[in-house]
Amino acid sequence: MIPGQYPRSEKLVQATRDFDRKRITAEELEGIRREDAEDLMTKQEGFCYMSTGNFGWQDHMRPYADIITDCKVTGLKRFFETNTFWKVLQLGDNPKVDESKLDDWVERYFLANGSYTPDSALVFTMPFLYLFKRYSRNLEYAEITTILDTVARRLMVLPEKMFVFFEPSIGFTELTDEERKLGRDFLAQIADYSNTPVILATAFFDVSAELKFLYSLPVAGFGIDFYANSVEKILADFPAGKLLMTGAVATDSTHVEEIAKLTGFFNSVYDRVDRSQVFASFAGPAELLPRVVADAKLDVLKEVLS
Amino acid sequence: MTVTHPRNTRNTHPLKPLTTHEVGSMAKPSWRVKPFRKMAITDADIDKAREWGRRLEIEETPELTELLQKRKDFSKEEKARIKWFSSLYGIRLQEKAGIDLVWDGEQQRVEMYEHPVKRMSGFEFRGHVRSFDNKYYRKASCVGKPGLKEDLHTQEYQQMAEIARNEVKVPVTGAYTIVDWSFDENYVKDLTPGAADIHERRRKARSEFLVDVSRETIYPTLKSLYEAGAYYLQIDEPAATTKRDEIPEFIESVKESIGDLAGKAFFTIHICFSNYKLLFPRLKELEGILDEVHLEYANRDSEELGTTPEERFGYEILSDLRNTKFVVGLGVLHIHTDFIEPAELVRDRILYAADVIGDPGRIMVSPDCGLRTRTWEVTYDKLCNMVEGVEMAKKELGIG
Repeated sequence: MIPGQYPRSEKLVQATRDFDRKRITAEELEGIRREDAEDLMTKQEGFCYMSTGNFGWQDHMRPYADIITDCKVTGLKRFFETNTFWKVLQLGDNPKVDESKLDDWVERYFLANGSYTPDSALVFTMPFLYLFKRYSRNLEYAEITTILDTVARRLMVLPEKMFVFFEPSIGFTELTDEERKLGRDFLAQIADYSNTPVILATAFFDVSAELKFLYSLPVAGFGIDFYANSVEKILADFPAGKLLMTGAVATDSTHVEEIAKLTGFFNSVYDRVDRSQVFASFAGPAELLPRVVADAKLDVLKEVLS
Repeated sequence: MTVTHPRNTRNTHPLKPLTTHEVGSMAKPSWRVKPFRKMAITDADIDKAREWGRRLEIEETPELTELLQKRKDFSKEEKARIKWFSSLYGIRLQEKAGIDLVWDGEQQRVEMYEHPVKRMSGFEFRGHVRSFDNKYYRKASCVGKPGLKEDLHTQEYQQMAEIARNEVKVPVTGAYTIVDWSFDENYVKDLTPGAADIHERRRKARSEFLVDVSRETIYPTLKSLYEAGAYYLQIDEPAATTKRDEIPEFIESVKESIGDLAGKAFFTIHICFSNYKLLFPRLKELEGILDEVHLEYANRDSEELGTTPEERFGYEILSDLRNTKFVVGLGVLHIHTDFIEPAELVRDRILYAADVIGDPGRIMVSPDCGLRTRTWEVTYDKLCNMVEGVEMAKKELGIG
């Protein structure tokens, strides 16, 4: 499963640049974007949940600027400890989701402009509370909760979906008790109205100090970056019956993982977690890699699992 | 209020308080880009070259427009001449705007990462990755011990020094940024995901990578520039604070990169779009090695006029710089918007900084970063307003 943004192909990178410089039309760009989406679709053949690749997204926050009232896209902020930057959303005094825009918005951002149907088996990725707070201004947690809840309600009526809340803040900053409570309450609220499985995905950082909190959350499973965490620490008390999305291929290295090492890794995971509960994935956002490398890593991952 | 002057031992012209400088890159004109992409030059491209030549009072413009009339299939020599013109135009634009320390907007370089890495051994390019929005850069992977295959900037400096009427300042991409923006397949190998020692192994490998880039590529580059006569040397380290735990390694890499050149030239470090708080207190270890610390501020500031901390919240880090010996490189132009900062806003940002630092002689004024994402029209207007704002601030400070 490859939640979040998959790297754009070199052709699409060039096309977006050409479009920005008015060298190609919006229709031409959309055609190339669609090619990328279809290529990724082929690569995911046999996956339980497919990813659209989010090729039209700029970052995980930007789509929300389209539906939140009085929302301005402002300056750049580093995306955690990477060399990718997100733009910060500046909110007005009474931000709320304009629900009249949601249908078109879902079609555009979550169904890749019609490349997928609403009942396709897809993994949807949304920013979790702390991430949303980090890349926005003038927004309280209560307002973030309302925004994410409104969107989640709309997305979760679609069948055959896996939900990933992306949250690298866990392990990056020390959460307050109040923040932990807000996170737990938000997830419990979602669990009350939806059976869609939800994974809380961490990335980049050592989360061992937060395991007690993580494992207490009302979610279907957890995503762990195994280039920042050891199997021993993470799986010593892994809760029974929960899903584990294993960050098994690195997104900060172009070295394509060796099959033997990955096989050894998965065997050590299967010793502790039932195989049916394990998803294989990238350790962080795949889009941090050049497309050709991400594709090669995906191929190796598929080979190991087959 | 005391007024000191940044140290200036080699040049005949002493730096004045609130000296202005550009940070590095500017957009490349279409007539500079197209010949290298095998695209035909259009009438509009030639008109633009002519128009800017007129605005910047460039005597050699007829030679350029005649050369561009060839439209396509330019020879290697012709392409080199077009590049030279692009540098000439870039420098003249800054001089015309009134900038004191100039560079050509990096017209000779692809961009700040690809240009040096292409000239280093031990790297192979792997493809494009996103910087932000639809902006991507070609990212390489280290596959062997880094070294220099060819000169990085000395010939370029000599060319610019010949063109420029003002003093030049040479931007050089720093070791930490090269390491951070590269993948590594050489120093970190054989990792097993989930291994108990994975963090320690990665950190050790990274440290070795950084020392090698500093010693084998950046130090020789700075030394060569110094020996060729360059005095203002700017080390670009936008990645400096990317990883919280690596500030000590970053500081060491600057020491390794400058080495015995400290005190012989004027060294600036440029850092942007980062959490600057992380630099302190370790940054003070670079006193006596670095002269100017240039940061981006306007990007995180308000557009309101005023000189209170509430209006100038983007300049919060100045209080940490106050008690250092560094000259403060003050970013006053937001480089990612077409908003033309009014001169009054520039003035207020400077006045606020002068108040916090307590010495306008310790302030140099510039954009936040390179203006490569803006058009030349926007760049020029922004720079002109910056210079006007500097004059207004000087008047207020009584240092005209």
